[in-house]
Amino acid sequence: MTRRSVLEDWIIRETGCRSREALDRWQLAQLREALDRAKARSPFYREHLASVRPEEITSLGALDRLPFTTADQLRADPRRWLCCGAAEVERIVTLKTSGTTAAPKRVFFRREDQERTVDFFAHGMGELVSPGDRVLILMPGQQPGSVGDLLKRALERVGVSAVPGGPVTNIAASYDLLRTSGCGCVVGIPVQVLGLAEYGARLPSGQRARLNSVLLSADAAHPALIHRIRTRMGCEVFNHFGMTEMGFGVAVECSVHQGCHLRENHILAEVVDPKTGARLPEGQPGELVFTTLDRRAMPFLRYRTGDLGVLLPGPCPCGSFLRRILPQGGRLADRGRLWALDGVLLACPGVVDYSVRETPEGPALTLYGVVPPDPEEARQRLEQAGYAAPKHIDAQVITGFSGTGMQKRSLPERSV
Amino acid sequence: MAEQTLICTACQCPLETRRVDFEYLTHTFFADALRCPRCGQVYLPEELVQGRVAEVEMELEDK
Repeated sequence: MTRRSVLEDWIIRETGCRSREALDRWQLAQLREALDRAKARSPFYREHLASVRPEEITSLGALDRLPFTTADQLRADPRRWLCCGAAEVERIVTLKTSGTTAAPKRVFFRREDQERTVDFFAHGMGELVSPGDRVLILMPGQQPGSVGDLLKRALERVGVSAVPGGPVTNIAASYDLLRTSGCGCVVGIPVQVLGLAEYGARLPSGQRARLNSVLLSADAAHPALIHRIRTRMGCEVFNHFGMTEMGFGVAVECSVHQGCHLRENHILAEVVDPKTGARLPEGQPGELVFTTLDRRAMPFLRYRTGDLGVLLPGPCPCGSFLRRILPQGGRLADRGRLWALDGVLLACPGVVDYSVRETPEGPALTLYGVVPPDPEEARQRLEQAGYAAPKHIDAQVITGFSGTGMQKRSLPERSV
Repeated sequence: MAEQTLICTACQCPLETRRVDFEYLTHTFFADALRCPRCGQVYLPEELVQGRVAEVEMELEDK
């Protein structure tokens, strides 16, 4: 059964815009104000936008006149990006990049910025839950201002109770919690939810949790992975695309599941050619570039995300005029190799995750599952997909996921 | 700077090295710093703030 994206009514109320054209004009007006504020208050943007005249940004085409911002610029000196005094910052989120000695990315939020994230979560989760429902949040939530904390606040605001389960450090324990907590909905990290799905599918049917819906967040979810979760858990799966720099939430699928509807009252999205930076039309894949329209602490204006995706053309089959992105193709940094491998390996029965390491004899692949997956199946599928399968493929049992789970999965530099 | 004695302007007495407790995002940690023995006012040198305090902050500032 399809219904219009729940975000649309909220965005219409917030912006007064009932059509694509009206919303485009509204976004441009907001952007001009954001440019004025950034130039006036941020030492970084004062220089960065020195030659930009906000009053000239009167069409989407004119966005070309705005220089991009990058993660490297953010790492170099986040405090110069600030548009307010340090004392007004409510929360800082530090993102370390694994495997490098590069300075971390630090993103600063004022209370109003966090409030907008909570508002988006409160409305977006309306796709999955109603007042009286209960959600198991398998994301970090201990610290105030963490993504799990903001999500819990948002759900409570709309009469939905939330169980903060934390990341899945132990699959059996998290599954037990799912079954005993009475939660009909789970929010979690894609491979961790896949681990739960595989574990649950192996239990006698009387011992399985009954779930209505799942929201996947915090890392890329290949359609192959989504399909496995949907079939193993027997419930609807909603993909969500988010990014700390954008205030955690960016876009969420509707019941049609063809792309994620954007939080257009807060974010303007573009897709550009990764090599030339030229804006690409809807339907053409490229690098996702986001602009925040209303951030009071640290605006991100034409921020190159390093993620690949496409802006889907036209209205959604759900009936909404809200733009949709399809996050697809993975990360620019690894030329989309992890995404492509996910498409093959996460389609293999029993594979919950995998890792590749370099050995003197070339790359070695390890498959993880709640029971050891079949290396030969993986080898055949890799070869069918046109890869030279690694000489060494082994399989291991996984009982949980380490760390906070918030590090995105990645491949080592030279591999498959 | 290391050779000079710092004094508290309010109490007019020299600061002494003491353990100072910090709280951030519901976690506590500590470091040695100069503190007024009378009123408790703490002096935080640049190296401490840019070094240990910054390290701990960034560890705690998880998503």
